[in-house]
Amino acid sequence: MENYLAELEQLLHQLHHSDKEEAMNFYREYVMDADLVTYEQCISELGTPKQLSRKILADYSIKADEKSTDDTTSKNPRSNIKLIWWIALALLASPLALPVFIVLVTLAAVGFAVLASFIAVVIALTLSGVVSAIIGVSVLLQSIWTGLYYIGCGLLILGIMLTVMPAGIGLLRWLIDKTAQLSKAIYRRFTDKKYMHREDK
Amino acid sequence: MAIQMSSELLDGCVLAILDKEDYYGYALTQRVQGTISVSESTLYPVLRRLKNNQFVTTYDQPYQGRNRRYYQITTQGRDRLASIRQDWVMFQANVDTLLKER
Repeated sequence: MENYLAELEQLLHQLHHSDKEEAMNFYREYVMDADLVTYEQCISELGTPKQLSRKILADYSIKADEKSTDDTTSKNPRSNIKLIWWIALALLASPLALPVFIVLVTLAAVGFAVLASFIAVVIALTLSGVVSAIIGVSVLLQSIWTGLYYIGCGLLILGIMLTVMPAGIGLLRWLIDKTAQLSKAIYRRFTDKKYMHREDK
Repeated sequence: MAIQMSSELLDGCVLAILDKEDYYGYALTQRVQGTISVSESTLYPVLRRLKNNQFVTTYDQPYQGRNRRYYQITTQGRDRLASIRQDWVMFQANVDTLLKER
């Protein structure tokens, strides 16, 4: 029982201290009142520490996200990614959720691919722009016109990239945002069916 | 049970139980599970939500060298319970209308 609670506490390390204490106090009291002496008894009643912690954490992530929407502060992509991640973990805690999880993993993979290719394009354009400009400068002494041409090309590429980049970043933010909303919807539907009620009682 | 409980109904059930007397976490879970099937880990989020919305307050009472946290309904909680009860009557009547249609 002590092991169970210690494990749970470790898994909740991401929560604010007060939130963690509150959850720990609740479950410490629960375990004592329910007379759960052994580790196995705890698991059969509450699930593994991991399952329980994921359920607690997913609940907090969603609460926090709703709060930030209410405050109309712009959601930052990092907390969205975190949210997607926690929901994926919570879903993984149940074997029944595997198909849903596979869909989420696929979405995450697609998102990652888009992000990677975007970064690659930015790097490639920056390099070619800079290289072209350097070539231009070095050729400038031999032939003024060729030199100017290369410098012009380089600056043009850099200029286009800087103009298009904000739009690209906007698109990425939008994609992450939508994925977060989708996983939240899936999580809701899923908890309604599987966690809130046992169907076999 | 084939029909799912919404979180509002769960809030209502917990508030209705607390309207009679104060409960601590485990006893409350047992009380709810005695009538409807919910998992053991369902009640914590419900109680946290009710407390955040100030529908319940908590106080600690010593028991065998440790503390038990009791949950007590507030005036706002009673108002909320009344409105959930009202909503439920409406909802129930509407569903009945459709279910009895032939």
